[in-house]
Amino acid sequence: MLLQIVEAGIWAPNGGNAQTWVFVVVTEGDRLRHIRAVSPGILGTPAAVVAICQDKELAEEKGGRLARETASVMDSAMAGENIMLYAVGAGVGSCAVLSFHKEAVRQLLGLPQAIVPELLITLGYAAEENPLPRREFQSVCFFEKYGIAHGSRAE
Amino acid sequence: MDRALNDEALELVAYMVSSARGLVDENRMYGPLRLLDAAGRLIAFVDGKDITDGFLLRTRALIDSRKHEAATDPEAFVGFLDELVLSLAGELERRGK
Repeated sequence: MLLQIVEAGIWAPNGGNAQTWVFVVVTEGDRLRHIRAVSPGILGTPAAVVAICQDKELAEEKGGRLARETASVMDSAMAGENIMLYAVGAGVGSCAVLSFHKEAVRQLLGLPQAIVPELLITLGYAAEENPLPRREFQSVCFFEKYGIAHGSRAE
Repeated sequence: MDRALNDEALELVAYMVSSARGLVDENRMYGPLRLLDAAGRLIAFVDGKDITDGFLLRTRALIDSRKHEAATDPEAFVGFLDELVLSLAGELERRGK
């Protein structure tokens, strides 16, 4: 199950089909606790953490500065979304975590200098549901021009 | 202190220091959240060791059940912090007698 969830990440859209991502899955007790210790954004005690990383040298080689600085970050987010959608479909809870110390995580995972951890996805069975409030759709989605809500006429 | 206890203490310290670093760049509401989470982790750390304290365990359960409000309902979260401080002050007073 865990492998299938993580594999969903490689099917995510990505800039120029560069696929410069690297996924490190942590399930082992000590390492998992150590990752949690340097990742304040992990509020629970997940069964697994997937570190979505980017090979920044490969990104630069394939797509220049835009890929290294921007597209690779977006690609990580899209891979994370794929993983989380697959997880929820499989009845597994997940959370995307950006509050972690990148260098500490790099050290704990033994990542080479060019491989940068961009996003952590925690996986486990949620004790409870805590749905987050959403902004009103009409306040963030416009048609044809900024400020024009669906169904209203453009001036 | 045995090895496991030392390791647990080290993890708690790593969490607090990582939080301190992260908070430099984060949402200001994350400060109270991290401190509250640290309080819960501290209670978990002492639980079942030299100290077993029903009041603290209940406090930890409350923290775990409501800390998410920092993201879902900041106003309720601040209200919860006030309630918690008053509860702790009451317990301090009670034990001081």
